[in-house]
Amino acid sequence: MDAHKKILRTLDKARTAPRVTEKEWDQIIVPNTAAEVVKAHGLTKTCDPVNPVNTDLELADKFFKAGWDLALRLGFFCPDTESVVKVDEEELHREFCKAPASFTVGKNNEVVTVSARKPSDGKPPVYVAPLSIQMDEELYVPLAEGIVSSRLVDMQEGPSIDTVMGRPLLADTPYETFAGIYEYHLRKEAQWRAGRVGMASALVSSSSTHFGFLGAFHLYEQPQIALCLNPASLKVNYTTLHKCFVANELNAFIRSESPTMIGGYTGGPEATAICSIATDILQFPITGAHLPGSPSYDIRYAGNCGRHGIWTQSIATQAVTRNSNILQMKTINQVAGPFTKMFFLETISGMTAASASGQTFTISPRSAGGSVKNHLTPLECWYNAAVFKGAAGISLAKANEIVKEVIPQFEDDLYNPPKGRSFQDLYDIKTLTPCEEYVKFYLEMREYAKSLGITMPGDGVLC
Amino acid sequence: MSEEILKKLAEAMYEGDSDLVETLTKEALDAGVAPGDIIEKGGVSALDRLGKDFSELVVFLPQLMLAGHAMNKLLQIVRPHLSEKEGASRGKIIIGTAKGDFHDIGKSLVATQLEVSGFEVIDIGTNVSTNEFIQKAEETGADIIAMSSLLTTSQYYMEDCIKRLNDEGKRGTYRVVVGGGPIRQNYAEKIGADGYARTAYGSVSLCKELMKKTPDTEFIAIDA
Ligand code: B12
Repeated sequence: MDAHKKILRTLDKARTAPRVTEKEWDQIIVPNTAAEVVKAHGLTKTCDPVNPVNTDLELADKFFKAGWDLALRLGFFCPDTESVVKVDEEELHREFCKAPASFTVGKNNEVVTVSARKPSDGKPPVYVAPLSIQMDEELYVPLAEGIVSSRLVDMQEGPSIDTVMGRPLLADTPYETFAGIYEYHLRKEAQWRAGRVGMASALVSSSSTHFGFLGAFHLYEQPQIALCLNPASLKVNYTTLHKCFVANELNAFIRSESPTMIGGYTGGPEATAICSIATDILQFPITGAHLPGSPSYDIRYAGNCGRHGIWTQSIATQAVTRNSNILQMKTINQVAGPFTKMFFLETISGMTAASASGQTFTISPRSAGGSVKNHLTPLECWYNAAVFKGAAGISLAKANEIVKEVIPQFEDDLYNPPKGRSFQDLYDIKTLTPCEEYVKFYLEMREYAKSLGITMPGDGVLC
Repeated sequence: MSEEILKKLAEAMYEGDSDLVETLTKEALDAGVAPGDIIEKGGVSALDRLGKDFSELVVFLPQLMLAGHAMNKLLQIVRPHLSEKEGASRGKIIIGTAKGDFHDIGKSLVATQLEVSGFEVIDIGTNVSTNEFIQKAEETGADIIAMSSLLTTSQYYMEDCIKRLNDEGKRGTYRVVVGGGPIRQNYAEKIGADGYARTAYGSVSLCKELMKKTPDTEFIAIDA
């Protein structure tokens, strides 16, 4: 009941707070307040793109204080009511201290405990695959089966579909409600075929609005991880809250997310980092998320494996993981596609920095920026998992060295990345076997990561 | 004297200070500065600098948006002083994100780029239904309907909008452009749009080209 009361409080606040327009919030209140806080905490121009993984932990602590300060000054904007849900210090402190430091999901052989990590923690983080990459509906089962056939993958989230039994899955219609139900059946089949009955999921992937979620989340044996994304960083809306009520009633764990954009409304890297920290901290009193994750993307290429992306995301992660026991989740956003060298290099850059900075949990990959249909295969997922887990225990200085080695090899292509090849092109779908040339390349890229000092645990299928 | 005013004007434009831009534009006209110079040296030069600084993370989206509004103000004041040909607005554009889709970052960037390039832009937000697109285009007398979609489940509504315009005999009244993460040139062409651009910068040349469109102009794609 406590969890329900929290959401009711958020709704009450949104309903009764004075009106603020979204334009004012986006274009004036957020940028100006974030810039003021950066200045007040002496963080101006602290971003060091030459050394993308921050190694100055005192600086990370200063960012945490600034993020906290910003959280109290801002709150979350609610577009449905055009008002701001504010939180006072006592409430923020209380809810933040109550944030869970671990939870367990999955049944039988599939039990996974998600627990808080610190920078350079030797404990491997939890890896979930894939993001909601769009696939032809007939490819859902083979792809998902292929992905979860490696035990490097702890849980399943995507992919998602855009047709249901050959019909267009129109967002915001009953087709979407049905898509949630349909995804449930497809997922069960894929997990069964892969011998992973009982594995936990993050849901509902094929649900653009709340309909698919409300129609299908309850079908799963609980607890699962509920996908309750925010409409934007520092915002919450009715769609999110609809889902939160249902998730809480079912004792599920809430995963929140919405990226801050470097160069967008939040401003430069420093201001963007504190907006991400504030977004994560505010989830506790406002939505009650268990897995807060506001990543930072570079607006110039909508990814975060380049210098500014890595710096911003790593300092925000270090700030939170050093100063709390919360379960920090963030996504790593590649922009290149399957079977391109760039994709693998982006992965080394993003996943090493994330793991070394103390991230607990991630969901990936975002092959081809997530925006080219069918451009995802199991191999990219396994590679992401191996780097993320294999980089556990690496020092921040070492992570910085690795990132500095790989970024120059792809940074010029971030603005026009190669989209790579599709699942059908790279796999024999019937037998679920990858083509030889891709396997060879994948194994070479694993060796390359090892040569950089990442342990690269085996995927249990090809190696 | 006029150089001095233009310098101040360019500075105010860079800062996105619409009120100061208004005052200085009027001053420049009173001082007899050629309208073309006011636009180029007072407006466009500052916007070019902003664009470069945005790509180097010196300025950010809110500054671009403010400058977009300031440029609009400048053009409103200068336009009556231009010859009829020069003074014509680049065109009026309705822009929004398709139904079911709340992604607004790319759409706002496109709206801003179009505005700073002299188009009159009416941003109708996210989760916009086909009815709303058409109704707003009719109400405002738009030349171009620009639809953004990041979700394959919403991109169907772009096709729906074009079909509705066709069915209702209104297709000839508007140029329709589409874009957003998953949208590709062949999809845009297939659903019968007039053009597609991959980026916000590309959307400017796309819309400029389309404003010159004759009935037999072919589909335009800008892969930049
Ligand atoms: C940020 C983001 C979010 C944020 C949105 C915040 C906001 N207020 O906008 C949040 C977290 C809310 C979100 C939610 C969801 N998202 Co989302 N999201 C993204 C992400 C990471 C970045 C998008 C972005 O802002 N890019 C930056 C801008 C600058 O790029 P852009 O929009 O493409 O625009 C450029 C061009 O395309 C072009 N352009 C854009 N519009 C137009 C219009 C015209 C006319 C023209 C000419 C050009 C043009 O110019 C722009 C500038 O150059 C993408 C992945 C990615 N890397 O792209 C996923 C992505 C778009 N999301 C995705 C999904 C699936 C979802 C959810 C359904 C997830 C879920 N299961 O809940 C929900 C849907 C919510 C909804 N109903 O809208 C998928 C879509 C897959 C697909 N093909 O359908 C993507 C691709 C990620 C993925 N595959 O994993 N998301």
